[in-house]
Amino acid sequence: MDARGVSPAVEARDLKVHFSLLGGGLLKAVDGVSFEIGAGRTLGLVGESGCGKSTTGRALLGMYEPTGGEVRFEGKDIAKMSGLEKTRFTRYGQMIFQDPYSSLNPRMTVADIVGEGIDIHRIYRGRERMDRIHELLSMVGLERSHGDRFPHEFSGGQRQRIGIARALAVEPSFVVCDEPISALDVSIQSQIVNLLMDLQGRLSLTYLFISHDLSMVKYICERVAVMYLGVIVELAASDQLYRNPRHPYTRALLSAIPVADPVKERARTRVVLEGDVPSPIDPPPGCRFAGRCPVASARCAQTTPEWREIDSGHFTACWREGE
Amino acid sequence: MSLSVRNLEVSFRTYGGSVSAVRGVNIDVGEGECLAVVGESGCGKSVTAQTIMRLIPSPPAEIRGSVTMDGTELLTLPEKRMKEIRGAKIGMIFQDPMTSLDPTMQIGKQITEALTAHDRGMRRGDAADRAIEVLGMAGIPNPEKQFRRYAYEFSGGMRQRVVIAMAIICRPRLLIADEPTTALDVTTQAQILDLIRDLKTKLGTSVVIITHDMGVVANMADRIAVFYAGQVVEEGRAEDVFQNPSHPYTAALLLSRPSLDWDRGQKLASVPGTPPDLFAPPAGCGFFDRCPAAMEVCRESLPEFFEAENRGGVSHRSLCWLHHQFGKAELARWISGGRGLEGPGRLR
Repeated sequence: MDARGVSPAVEARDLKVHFSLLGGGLLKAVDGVSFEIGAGRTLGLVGESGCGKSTTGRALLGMYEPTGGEVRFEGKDIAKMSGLEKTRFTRYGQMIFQDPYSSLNPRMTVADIVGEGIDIHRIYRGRERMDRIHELLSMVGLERSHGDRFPHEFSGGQRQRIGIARALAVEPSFVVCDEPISALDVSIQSQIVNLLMDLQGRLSLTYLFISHDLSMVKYICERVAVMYLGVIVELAASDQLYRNPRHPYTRALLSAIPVADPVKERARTRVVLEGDVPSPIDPPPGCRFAGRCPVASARCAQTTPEWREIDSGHFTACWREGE
Repeated sequence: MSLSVRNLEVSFRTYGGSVSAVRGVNIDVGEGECLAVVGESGCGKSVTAQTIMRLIPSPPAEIRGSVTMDGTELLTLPEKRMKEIRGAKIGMIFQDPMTSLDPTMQIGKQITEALTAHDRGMRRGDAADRAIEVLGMAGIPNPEKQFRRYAYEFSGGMRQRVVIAMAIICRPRLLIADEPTTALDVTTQAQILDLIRDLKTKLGTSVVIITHDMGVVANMADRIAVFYAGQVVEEGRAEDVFQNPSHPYTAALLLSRPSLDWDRGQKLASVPGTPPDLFAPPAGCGFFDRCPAAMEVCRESLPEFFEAENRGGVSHRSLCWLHHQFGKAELARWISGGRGLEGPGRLR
């Protein structure tokens, strides 16, 4: 239960996903993350490319077997689910992908794409199935007649609507949105965001919203987790996180967001990070961010900082916090 | 340096008919100025930039209009003379640093190639020294060591720095950056934007930066040109365009991105529909179908430019009938409706 008394729909406990590489070495894509998402809530997961956001999202849906830790869906460890429970879980947990061009099978009609999950889980048949597909298409703002067409006949925004209809076809309760708007144009992004938020309200969906677009995440999510090189460095209610970031990486990330206002933008001071995100292959001990951190001390490079609650509902992993 | 583009029209013949990618664009870039070209994909911003560089072969493209740099007409210049300008007087930074570098060539060699191509008499050692110097200027640590490495050995941000080094090595008077940070992460984006801004001040280069993200240009641009469906729909000083957008499309673009200081629950404006099909460009305003303030006249006839304000001798103008005598009353009503795009709806 979280502070508002909402029981978590999805929970990651010390989740680790490591990949062993052909040439030796261990790529620690996700290295011990813990969070929970309350039913009907949205958690934002932000960070730069390669920090493990997508791997976390996929592990939550059981697409990768965790190297360590566990994922719990409605209180049950998904690795220990029975066959029937697992089938049920693959229905209730769905995903919306980043690239609407490569995530739809070009040889299937839209109706077949949307209906595939309905067939697999044997939810509806015949007339009912077709009615349901049409209902889904209109729910995401497409027309009935679009069902007979192929993906290449649609624009990026429309394809993303098809991807959303496909995810919703099996009546999921939890949806991982993996960068659902980053491949779209600005004016189309707002259409999709409004659609996702509207659907969440109507169908009481739980979202994990993965994005590198920090202003959009602030707008959409109640809580936000910031990832860096396989670990979560800070997690808080979004207002709190954006108003009072406590981890130096979060501060740098927030100050790097361009603001669409020349007067404000020129008055801002920016924390510019030197260098690039280091490789997640055999990462060094200590804080992952120590090498680029403007306030790192000797301790940071040696011991991994603890994950602590520094304010109610505000977590961070930083030795320098509160010093 | 001064660049002026006049009545530029570019169309491509395809199997499906002719696409009018650029439909009568006028832009000017002055000495040491930074012009931001903002618009969505397919609005003609990259085609305009590539036409300035003469990178679009014609035929098959049909190009009309004029592009002059310091009084020289570029569109009719013989290819041999254009080669002297391309790279030397105008440098270009491309969007994707992964594909704009040759994977089989050491980066040092790629950079010096630009120099030796323009100055055949240059000694290799001198060229290498100069390349190392610009790599350093572009913020690459230990440039001597990096000189012999290949593009794949660099991260995205570092590759973009190599591309920038290549673009500035001949000290061009104009730098065209086509979505220089779109492929990069926010923190890297901030580094690259800072770098371009520094170089502009240090070298006194004029810059044209092309982007779809209004935020990217807020801190850099002196002036902004907003592109939509192959046309410039609004143009003016950055402050004026941001604070007082005078074309409904620009207003929508600014309102469709949440700002960090927004309260939660504030409504995100969403523009319905999609940009027009440029295979059959509309007779009237390109934004007609999506415009919350559209009037009957907008369907039939293409608006002219109307000046919304003029501060410090810089015109802020937009291609919109709302600024015509008879549209002004509607505009006032629309703005007093909170400019929230719920406005008066379709005016008939």
